[in-house]
Amino acid sequence: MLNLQNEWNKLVQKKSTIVLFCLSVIFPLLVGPAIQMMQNKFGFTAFDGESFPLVILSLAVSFYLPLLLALCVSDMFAGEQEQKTLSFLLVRPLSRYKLFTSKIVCIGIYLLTLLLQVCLSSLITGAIWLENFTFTGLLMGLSAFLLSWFPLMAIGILLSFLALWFGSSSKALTFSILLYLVMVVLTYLFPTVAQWLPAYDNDWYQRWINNGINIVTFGRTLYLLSFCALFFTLGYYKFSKKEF
Amino acid sequence: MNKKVLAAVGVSGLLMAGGVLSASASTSGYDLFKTAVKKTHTINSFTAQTSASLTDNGKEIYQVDSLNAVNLKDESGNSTVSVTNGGITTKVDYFSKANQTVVKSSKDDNYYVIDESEHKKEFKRKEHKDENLSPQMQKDVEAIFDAVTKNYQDMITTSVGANGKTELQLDLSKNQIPAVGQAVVSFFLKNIDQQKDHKEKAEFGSLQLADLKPELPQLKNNINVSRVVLKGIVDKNDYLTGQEATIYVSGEDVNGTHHDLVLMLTNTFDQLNNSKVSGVDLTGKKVVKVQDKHDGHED
Repeated sequence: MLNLQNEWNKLVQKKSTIVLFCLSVIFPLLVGPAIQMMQNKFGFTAFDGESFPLVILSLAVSFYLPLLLALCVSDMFAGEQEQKTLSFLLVRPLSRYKLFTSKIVCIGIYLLTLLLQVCLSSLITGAIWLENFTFTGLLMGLSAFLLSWFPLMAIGILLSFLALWFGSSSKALTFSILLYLVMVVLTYLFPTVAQWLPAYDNDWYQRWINNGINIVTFGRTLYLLSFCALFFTLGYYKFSKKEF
Repeated sequence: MNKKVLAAVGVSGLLMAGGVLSASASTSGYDLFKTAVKKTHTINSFTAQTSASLTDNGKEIYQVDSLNAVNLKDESGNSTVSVTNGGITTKVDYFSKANQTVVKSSKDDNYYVIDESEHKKEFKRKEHKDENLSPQMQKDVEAIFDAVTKNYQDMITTSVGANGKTELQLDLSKNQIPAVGQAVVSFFLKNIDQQKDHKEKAEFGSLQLADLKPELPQLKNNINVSRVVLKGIVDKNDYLTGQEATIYVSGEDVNGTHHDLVLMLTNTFDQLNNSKVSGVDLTGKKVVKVQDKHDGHED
């Protein structure tokens, strides 16, 4: 895709991206042995090789990945506008639709890379350090990580629509973090309101593990996909009309 | 806004609404359970038949059966408990009134009477009052409970049985049980030997409470909860009249022997709001007064 290569190169050559990639791999690798030591010391088994990737995933989807996503999005839209580098892109013979799509696809690939990194390193940790590592556990862990891409991507698209309204990346980032926190709090205090927000589905891999495909998982899938479509359209509209 | 954008926004908005509404429409089993729990909280008296059994690799090692009549209004109740621990059965009768508890075991003919002081009664009543949450707090607690269980709600299966009773069931396999639950259970099982240091010291003549505690195999490795099945029976008046929990735990002991422990708890409520509590007539019986050991600490 046109410009995608360009966006990806810009992203992975940032020092912060490289550091975050490394952290995502190292964190599960360090946590595994630490947990094993604690479990032996205090005598409990909360995690075994099968459930360890899922525990790491639940931490990642609720705090770590949304933050990284907000950082990436605010840099990619508001940040480039702030540094006045976005105008170089706009003068290229590419439609704004193509530019916007390439940015969103780039965010999607970035998110998938992060998920796979965390997934692989936590699977390896589980296999090396913890007891009861099974093939079913491996398959389940992998599919849970892949499934988590959808709700996070919905948040990512929502954030990129909102980042277009800000002129500086720090403002966009602060706002994104606050918005995410509000969405999480709403999930616990007003579930009826929160079910209209994508953060409600952050741990939806548990729903899939529990129920497989039924009317509720189908409904939530439909919701997430149409949520992505809605904010992609609105984001594109804003991007195409915006004057830089 | 051009037409294409408007159309895309409209269609995706409609689909979004459809998705959310279809997902939230089908949690009837969970809703029925909530209604039943709330309604069952309002009853004043009931007869409950409770039993618990524990099997280790298919061999029953512990069994408790009890029949309790309880009146919550005047805080009285009586119960008959029989405990089978390692093949030996002990039967204990309890009678309690507002400030007196009588214990009679099958091991001797004595009636052990515990008188509770006024002070403690007052304390108890206060405690009871605090348990009743204000309606606003109840709502908040309910919302948080809803959010925590949202991934489990639609796993509850319902089946309507004879005489209008509905059976609710929640069956969780190993990876569906939250890590916190796993941690608590395995911590508890691994550390039983430490708990034995402060054994129950209370005794009523030849009956020692420690006798009534089960002897569990000492699990050391690979302890995990492999399955949990929860059942509830809701009668046609929306009372939760039956509860059943079966918990499967597996693990290895110090010798590397594999153990499958199954703990089954059942409870059925009967005679809601018209249960009769029978008292005990102590005239002509051998009565032994027992000092309540906690009093010393409180005063």
